[in-house]
Parts: sequence; C-alpha cells; structure tokens
Amino acid sequence: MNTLLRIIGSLVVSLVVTQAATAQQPGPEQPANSLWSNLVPDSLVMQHAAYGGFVAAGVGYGSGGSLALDLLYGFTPKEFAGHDVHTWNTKGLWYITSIGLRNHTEWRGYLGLSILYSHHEELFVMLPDQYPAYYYPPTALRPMLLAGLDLQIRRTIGLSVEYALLDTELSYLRDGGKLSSESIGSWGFSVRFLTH
Amino acid sequence: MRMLLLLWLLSSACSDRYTPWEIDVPPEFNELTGRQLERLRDLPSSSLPFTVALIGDPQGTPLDLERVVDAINARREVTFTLVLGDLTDYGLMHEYVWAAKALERLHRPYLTVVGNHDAISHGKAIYQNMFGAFDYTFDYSGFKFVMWNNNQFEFGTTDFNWIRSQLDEKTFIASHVPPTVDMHSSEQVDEWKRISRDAGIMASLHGHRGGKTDFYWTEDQIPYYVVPKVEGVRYSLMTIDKNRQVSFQLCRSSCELEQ
Repeated sequence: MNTLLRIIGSLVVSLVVTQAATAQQPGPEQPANSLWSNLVPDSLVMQHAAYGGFVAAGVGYGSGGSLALDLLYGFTPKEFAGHDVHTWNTKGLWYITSIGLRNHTEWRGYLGLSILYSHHEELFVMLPDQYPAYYYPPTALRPMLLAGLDLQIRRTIGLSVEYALLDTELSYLRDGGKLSSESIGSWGFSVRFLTH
Repeated sequence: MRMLLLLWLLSSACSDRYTPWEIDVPPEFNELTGRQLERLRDLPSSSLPFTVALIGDPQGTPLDLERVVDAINARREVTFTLVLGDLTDYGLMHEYVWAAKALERLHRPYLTVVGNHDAISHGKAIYQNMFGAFDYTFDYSGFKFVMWNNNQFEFGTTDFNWIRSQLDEKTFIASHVPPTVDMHSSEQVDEWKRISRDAGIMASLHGHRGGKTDFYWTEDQIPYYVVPKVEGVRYSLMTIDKNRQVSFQLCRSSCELEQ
C-alpha cells in the first residue's frame, strides 16, 4: 500500500509540475489558474493495447499543445493475459509535426515516453530485503518509448494509432534484431474526447 | 457507423500483446521439458563417448542465442544441450518467447534449469507453464542428470535434502547458481560440496556468473564448471569419454579444451 501511495503521489507531483510549466498567463476574461483548475483535464482518453492494457481509460492534460501528459488506468482480463493485470500508465507526449486539413481536421505525429506500473505481490518498486543493493531494477515499473499518429477532428475528438516499445525490448535491437512488430513492441489505438 | 468501422479496423490491426506482465504461454511453447525428454528418449541407443552442449545466461541477447543454436546445430557430435538458467532478464513473457523460439530450433533435445532472473516478476508461473517442474531428473547413457533449482533469493530456500536424495557416483548436477558464496552462505556452500563429495558425483555444472569466459576447477576430484554468458556467441561442450572422464571446451568461433 505504501508503494501505491508513493506512485499516486509522484503522479500528482508530475501532473502539477507539468501544468505549472505549460500554464497560460491569465487574460482579462480568464480567471487566475488555481490548483483545482489545473487538475481539470483537457481530454478524456480510451486506449486499447500498446502495452497499456486490453482496455485503458484516463485523462489528458495539455492535449492541444505540443507537450501533453496522459494518465491512464488499464485492465487486461485473464482471458488475454493468463491473470487479471491492472496497470497505471503515465505518458508524456511530444507532438512533433502537425498538418492541418480542410474541415478542421489535423494530423499530428508524436513521440513519447511512458512509465507503466502494475501493483502485484510478486512485483516490487523498492528492492525486497533479501537482495543486496541494486540487485534488480524495479519489476513493477516498465518504461516505454512511444511513437504515434493522431487524427484530430474539429478539435473535439482525436483518434491515435500508437506503437509502444518496452525498455526490455531494446536488447532485441541492440543484439542486431530488426524493428518488427512480430517480435517486439505493441500496436494500439486510442480515442480522445477533448473537453475544452 | 463509419467511426465504429474505423475502430474495428484499428483494433484488428493491433497486436495481442496487451501488457508486459502476461503469463499466458503460447500453446506451441507449453510443457517444453516434457516434450524434450520425449525427444531424448527417442534418440538411438546411447553409448560412450558423448558430448553435451552447455549454454548459460542468454538473457538480454536473444539473437546471440539464435547464433549459438546455429553453431550447436552445426556440431554433429552434440547429443543434447543443457541451458543453465537465466533465459530472461526480467522474467517477462516476451523474453521467454524469444528464448523458446531460439531453443526450439535446436536439432537435438535441450533441457533447462530455472535461473534467478527467470523467477522475478511473474517468471515462476511462466517458467512452469512453458517448461515444467523446477526440479527434475533424467537419465542418459547410464548417467543421471539432476536439474536443480537453487535460486535461494527468489524461492526463499535451497532444498539440500532433495539434492542429497538424488545423487550418486553416476550423477551430474546442473543448477543455475554455482557453489560460491553469493546467494548461499559459506555454511551452505560447504554443505553442498560435502553432499557432492560424499556422493562422488561426475561433475557440477552452472551458470549465473555471466562472464565472457568460463570457470573450471576441481575439488575433491569433482569437476566444477561455470559456463560463460551467451553474449558474443559463447557456449561450451562437455564430453564424457570411454573411460568416463569428463572434459570441457569453451567455444566461440572454435572450441578450446579447458585444462
């Protein structure tokens, strides 16, 4: 439970820091930013696969800008994973290209970094007592690299296709393997509903 | 309607790897130990001399493992292969699948022991589903190979009673962790060596050190051998000659006899 609280705490801190960094100056008709207004998400997100779970849902911040943060809870039932897997996914996204089309349609390519966390008695963030220091890195956390393409329609809904590559899969590339979705990575897609 | 069709198309294009922490082993990689023991039993009648390939610590180098498999396949003298643990770095399914895909390409049987890295995350369940029991034995050419799980940190204990009950003078021990003070206390290492000496085993075979070279020493007339890490396409050969003498060779592009 302590571990879970630490994770939730770090999520809140990273959220506040990100929002503070991207906060706009208040205009005459815009009230000054408060912590509460920062916590109101810019978008609601549903995701399938890309290692985030069979189905994941959460909120997005900074969704209209070039930097964004998504916080998702994902679930994979035992029918698809052998046991029920619960994950929390913190995704930092960097939109690197933007091509606007007619009818207010916009294509945006992005790269991202993500940290997956899963809570289970067999997984750990802090090394259990029986091990010497630094014996293993945390097994409950998995960093990922992300690349995706986002189609935003009328600034109300976005559809994304995303490829996620785990840190543990980089060894396949280091060893001379090709970037083949058959061997490594996970394709997924998401739907984003922009709230303002 | 168009949106639903688009979502359906997207979902069908997505991979079925939903989470890194899955434990559902693909059916083609289920119960591999049992299948390999059947292959071993189906070999033509055994006789001396025979040669066993030894692989250790292929984790983190899945393609070097494939290259080692190719090298072993090219050696006609190899009867079967022992994989001495740490098939994976983090006990994750995709790492297990890489290892199983490579090992299944071996032309002759292979048997594995579980390593400490294989047993973290949900690796214990995956190993049991993919391979089978952690402790088991098999016979070949009048010798008994005792495949022993001695990863004390991950399993909480080392079962010296089991190993004691399995050993005699025609026995080879294969375990991931060698008899050095690391996971085991000096008292445990002494007990282990005493059990091996009292039984007069043929040899003691291990991985875990993960080095670029092997380690070979003799104690109480028992050969102790630690294989190198697979990285760099390394493996070893163990030969039991007509006089029941055991010798080891370290192999990269070629093999050199260990003195």
